Amino acid sequence: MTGEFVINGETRTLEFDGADTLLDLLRANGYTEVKQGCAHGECGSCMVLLDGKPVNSCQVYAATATSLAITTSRGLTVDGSPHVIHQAWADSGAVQCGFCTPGMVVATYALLESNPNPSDEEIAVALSGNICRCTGYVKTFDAVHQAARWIAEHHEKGGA
Amino acid sequence: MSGITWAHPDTVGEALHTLAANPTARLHGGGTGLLRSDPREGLLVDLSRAGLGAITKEGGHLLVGATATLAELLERAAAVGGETHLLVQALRETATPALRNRITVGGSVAMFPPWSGLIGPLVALDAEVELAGGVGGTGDGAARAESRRSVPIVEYLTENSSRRGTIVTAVRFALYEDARYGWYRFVRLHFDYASFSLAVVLRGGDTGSDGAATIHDARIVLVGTQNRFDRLNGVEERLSAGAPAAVSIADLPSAIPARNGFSSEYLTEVAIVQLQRILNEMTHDRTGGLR
Repeated sequence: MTGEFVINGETRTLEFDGADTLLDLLRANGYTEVKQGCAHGECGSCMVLLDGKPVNSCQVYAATATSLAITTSRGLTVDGSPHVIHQAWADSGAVQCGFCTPGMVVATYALLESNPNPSDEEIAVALSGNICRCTGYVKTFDAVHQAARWIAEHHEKGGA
Repeated sequence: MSGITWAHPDTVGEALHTLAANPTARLHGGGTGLLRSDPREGLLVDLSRAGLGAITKEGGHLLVGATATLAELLERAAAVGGETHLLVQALRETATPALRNRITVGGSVAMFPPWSGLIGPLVALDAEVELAGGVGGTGDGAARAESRRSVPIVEYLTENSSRRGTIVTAVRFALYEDARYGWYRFVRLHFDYASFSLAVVLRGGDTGSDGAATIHDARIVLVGTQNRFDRLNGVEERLSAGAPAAVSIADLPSAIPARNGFSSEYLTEVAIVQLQRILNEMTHDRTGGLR
């Protein structure tokens, strides 16, 4: 099968099998920042934004994602530079093996879009579908708060 | 290569026509249920573009399109029913935010996974399931789509004849002004699949001089039993008659089977204790509450 996919703002015509998930499609076409973990929708490693909403790409048939806006963690970069959420993860020491990080970053992006100053409880709910087996979650919470502060400061300075 | 092919109908009529021409085809709502069975061949009919995603308030009811997601229903239920609405309590604890963005209302009703956080509340709310096609639907897809009917959700879940050849197009339930809701799900960890869940709706009349109100309608649903789900009619009748709502094992029409490492006896006992706690809180512990 062939379909037109809008991935990180770029429209691409890609071949795929009818049983392929969006995760299969993305990884087969070079978007290896989307990680395959459990492949059952439980770990969040494969999380992407689909029309702005976080989804487990392992739980989406590729055939149903044509024409929808697909955004991976890499798609959040700005002119090749890390998004502040990426930077917050690095600066806060929230990355160890890094396997869960792309999914965490995507989930955080969706959270901060709707809630620019989340509480710990709200972060826990928003990231409840993202499992990290390295760090525990203290640094993760630090990173979300750091990203929220930087985004707020950016807006205070008149940034878009 | 798999043998999976896809159809993406733009209307319900087109979907029914496709189903009629391909009796073994399977319906796709959000995909999470289908992916668990991992089909490797056959036609999948994607309903996500068939115009079934709207959630509308119609008088005192909410009409929820079949391809509305649990996240969309949660948001809307909170907006119209408040944070204590039964569906809000239940859906906040169902799956994860990302999965709730994919799991559809129609898919959950049609597949009814035993851990579902949606079905118990819908049964307790006396929801109706709107169907297209099936009995009375003959001719081409457009004509069959005109054959629409509404059945109580209990009938849909328990009688295969209700669902044969049909597409769930929406779910409808009343928004009560006089109801209080109780919800409990048994899990070891927050996002485990529930071993069982309890959904309670108590409706009461005017507040009396003692600050209490009379219950005129009680609905208690236990999901995860051997019958898949049960209404606890005996407890409901006692509550509605103003009698104490002491719950015992005799009130359960069927046992909860052993699940997730817990014995049947243990789960059944926990269900009784938790239901008693919910009812005590709802009927005794609140000033001005139902009694």
